Amino acid sequence: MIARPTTEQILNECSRELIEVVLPAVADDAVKVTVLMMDVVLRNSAKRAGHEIAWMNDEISELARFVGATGEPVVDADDSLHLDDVVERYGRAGEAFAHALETAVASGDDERTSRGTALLAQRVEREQEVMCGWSPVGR
Amino acid sequence: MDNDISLTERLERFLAEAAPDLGATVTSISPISGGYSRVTSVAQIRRADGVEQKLVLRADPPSGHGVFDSDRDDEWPLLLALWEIDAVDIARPRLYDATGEWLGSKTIVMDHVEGTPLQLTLGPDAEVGAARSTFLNVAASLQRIPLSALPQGMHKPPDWDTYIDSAIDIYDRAERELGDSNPVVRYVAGWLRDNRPPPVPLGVVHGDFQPGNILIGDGHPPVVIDWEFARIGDPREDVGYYCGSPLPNSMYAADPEAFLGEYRELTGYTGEQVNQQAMDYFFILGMAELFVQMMQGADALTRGRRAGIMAPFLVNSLCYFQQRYFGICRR
Repeated sequence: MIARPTTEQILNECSRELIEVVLPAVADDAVKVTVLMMDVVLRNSAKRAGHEIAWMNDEISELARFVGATGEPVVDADDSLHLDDVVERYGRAGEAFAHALETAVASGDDERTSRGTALLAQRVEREQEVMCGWSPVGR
Repeated sequence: MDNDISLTERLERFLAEAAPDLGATVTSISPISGGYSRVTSVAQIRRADGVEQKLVLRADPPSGHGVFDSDRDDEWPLLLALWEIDAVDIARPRLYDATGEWLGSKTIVMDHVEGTPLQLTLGPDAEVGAARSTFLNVAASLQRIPLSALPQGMHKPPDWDTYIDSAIDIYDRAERELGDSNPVVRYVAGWLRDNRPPPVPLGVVHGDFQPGNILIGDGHPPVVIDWEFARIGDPREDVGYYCGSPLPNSMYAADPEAFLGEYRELTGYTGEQVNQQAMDYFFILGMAELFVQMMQGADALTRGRRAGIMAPFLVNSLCYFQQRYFGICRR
């Protein structure tokens, strides 16, 4: 496959084209808003394309370590890096982690709760990175 | 319905059927921008007596183009009920196309109110005191709406605890039903269960109570619009929803203690019932329905259903609110 430009670069180029060429030619205000939304989504997608598999794999390992202390199996021995497979493993790891964290909170295990919330904090931080500086408007 | 005719002609036919005495001619229709949920237009009509009048059409969006969902069949009787009581001012509801047979989708027709959204008066250099009083007086007026005056079909929770349980369950249920597990939402829902503030009497919750939905104008009191997410719940949800909102030039952030002091004074709530921690709590609780609808929009896309550009766009909003929620829970 032609690896360069990367998906991230391609999408960012589409974003630039949308803003510099398409948007100035749009007269309808509602369509302008749609174009601006599409630009945000393109930039989100570019950021995700560059990192999401690595981020999810990293987090799966950390979630597995957290859950592992309770002996619950999390990740199959499937090392496919196809996005759908990684997302599937990520979802299973997230479910097991959520359950383990709920148990830690309910049992008053502060040390374990603290480790769990630190992992959530990392997830939330990466979500901010994907937002590419977006801030809420309009509502 | 004939899809080939314009909205202007459709409205004219609808008015002829539903309000024949007007003898109305529709002279123009233009969309009102803003808002994420309904398709809103303003129509200029000329009545048979020569009087020019503006009407607002509040319609469901075409299928596959919206994220936020609500039912005009619930909103319409609520508007009729609110119009009949003095507690709060609303735009007068006039007509309802309950099937979409006339106007293309379920559409509420109401009087147009000349005015400026309160949010637009909050420029960077604005003196927020007067706006804050306006906002909080409206919040207090909602609290005074007698529940007995509301439509029979409106769900009335039996007590405060049951209501709070059901509001938290909005998060729990959505998290369970959607395709992907969301540990942040699970953690936040657990925090809500464990950190309830003291109760207050149940009352009307607007459901999107922000200064953009309060119209200020000469010759009329503040008018509250966009009632689609209204319900009976904890009235602090509305003010908490605003306190945590990311809207610019926040009247709350400008001076939280002054804001909350005035809110307590107007409502009679105590310092235990209304404080910054309680507002954080009700920010999360008051956002439940909208947050979950954003989750559902993203899930619809995951499952291959059309949800328009709004669904992927609002993934940013989900990320934003998750960060805010999590920050509150960790304090």
